Amino acid sequence: MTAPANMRVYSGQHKAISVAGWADNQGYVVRFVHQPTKHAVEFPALISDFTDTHSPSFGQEHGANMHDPVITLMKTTRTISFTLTVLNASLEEARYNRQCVNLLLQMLYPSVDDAGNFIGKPFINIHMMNLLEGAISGEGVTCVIEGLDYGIKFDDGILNANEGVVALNRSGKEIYPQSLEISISAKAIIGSNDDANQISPLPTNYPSYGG
Amino acid sequence: MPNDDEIVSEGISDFLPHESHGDLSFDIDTAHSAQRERTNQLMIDRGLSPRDERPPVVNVSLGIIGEALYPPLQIVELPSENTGVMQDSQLINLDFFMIPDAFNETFKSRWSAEDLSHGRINPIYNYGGTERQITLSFTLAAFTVAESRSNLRHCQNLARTVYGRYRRLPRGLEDALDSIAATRFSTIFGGHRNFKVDFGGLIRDETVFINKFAFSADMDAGVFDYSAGDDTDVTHGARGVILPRAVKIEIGFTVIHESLLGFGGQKRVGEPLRWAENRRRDWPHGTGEIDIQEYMKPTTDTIAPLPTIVTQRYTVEEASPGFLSGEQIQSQRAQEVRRRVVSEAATLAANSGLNAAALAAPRTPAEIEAALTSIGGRAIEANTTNIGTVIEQALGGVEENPPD
Repeated sequence: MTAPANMRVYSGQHKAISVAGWADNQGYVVRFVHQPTKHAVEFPALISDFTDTHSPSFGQEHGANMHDPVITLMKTTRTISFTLTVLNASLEEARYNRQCVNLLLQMLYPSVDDAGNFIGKPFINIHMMNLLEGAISGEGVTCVIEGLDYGIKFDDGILNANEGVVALNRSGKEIYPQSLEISISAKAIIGSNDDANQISPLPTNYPSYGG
Repeated sequence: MPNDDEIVSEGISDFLPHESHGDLSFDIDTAHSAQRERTNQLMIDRGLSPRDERPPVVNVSLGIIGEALYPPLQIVELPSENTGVMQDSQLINLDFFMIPDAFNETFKSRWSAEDLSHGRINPIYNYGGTERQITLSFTLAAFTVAESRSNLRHCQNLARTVYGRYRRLPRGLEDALDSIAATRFSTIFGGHRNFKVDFGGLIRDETVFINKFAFSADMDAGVFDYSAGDDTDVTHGARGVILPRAVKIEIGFTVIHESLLGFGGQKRVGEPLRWAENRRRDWPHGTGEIDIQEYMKPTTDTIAPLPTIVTQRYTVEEASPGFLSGEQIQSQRAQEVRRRVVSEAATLAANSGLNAAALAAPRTPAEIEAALTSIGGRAIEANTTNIGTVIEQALGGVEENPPD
């Protein structure tokens, strides 16, 4: 049986001219792990529009002769959204990055049994430096990704082989952008504290931003 | 390294083949015939008849740049699965080069959350599936009047893709009605149109339905003006007709995947970490010449594909309780089919000179019978009783694939 894939940040022959080199040097890496299969993929953390929202929802009761409502906290949800930019400095890196992106897209699908039934829900662990570190294991935050947008702006340019622009695309098949954006919106699953001495199920360092 | 941005920024009117960009000059006729062959091959693959007409003159100028930089966009309509009905119009088939502006793909997972009680940190999440939608925006620019007309024809065809299909009831039923009633009642709505779409490594021969088409004429880019007389490259002779120099198009596809998506599955028995599709290719986007990752590589220990010629299945009566159990029916029918296969194969082999000779020459009767029985067995597994087709396959396949 095959082992889980573990696709790291690009480290090929063009690493020196790629953002991957800087990301590797600085440790700016975002890592996704598909929980049912443990397949993992990493990208240089070119992150924009990162938002981590903790939203309480309240029940309100209004009584007679009362100005203010009686508040009952129902639940608190945590939603995460960010945009990841993937840059390609060479054709080789573009091809490798596309395989990485392919794996990330595949992570939105479940594992299935021999009869075609969904058996492993596609929970995805996201680790993004100290911003999404995970309060318990430090291995990231388990998320339910509800939507993923993959976008190419052709105005930013496309890559071609060294032989000239016609060498790649007149073949009619391959087309690689210099940059692409992946926007992710997810709901976080909050890890609960196993320490019997703690009263709150929330970990003491939750949500663990590294402060 | 050169890229399309640099080339486009040089300006279309100033564009000349540049050393660093490679040779952009090529024979238009050759490009047209290659385009026609490619489209026809795609149509043949889909079971459609190839077309004879020349493709529209779309790539005489800007099309050359589009062809040099980008793969073609191919959209081929799949014929209706309802047999014995008349389609309302010709199938929509397009194959052209354009200059894409944006490509967006959305993967949307269906999750439902069950909140059980106050204070519970997480709800229970249930997963329902993942949908995939694609939006492609592109510009069709025109250097000449002929190109502009061709672009509008493309827009016309693309716009029709989002409308439903209509069909006629079979002739016999139509004849039973009088002529007026036939016109009114025998045309029925046939549902949406399905297409096969291909756009380089980004959309690879996917089955889709088109959920959006938006067309806008870019008036800032200008129009070709009217001038009395025949059409020239830059003027047209039809007063009151507006021919834009550029039109912008946005088209949306919802992908209908033909195989199970996920990890594991029936094509990956015992390999739950491998991608379910089990083909030697990446998914969803192509990655060219580099080798695919280990978890994507095909494995061989899967169920062999069965013939797709399923023409008749067990009837309800046969399978009903009290008649015979399913296993008994299957066993009886298997024996019956096997007998008929061997018997009819022998008759066919005796009566058809060419096939009989081809069969008899290199093989002994026992080998031929073994081959026919083997293929008959596959037909039994597929529950087919179309013995003639099976035997034809058997006769055709004995020489190429002799049994071990």
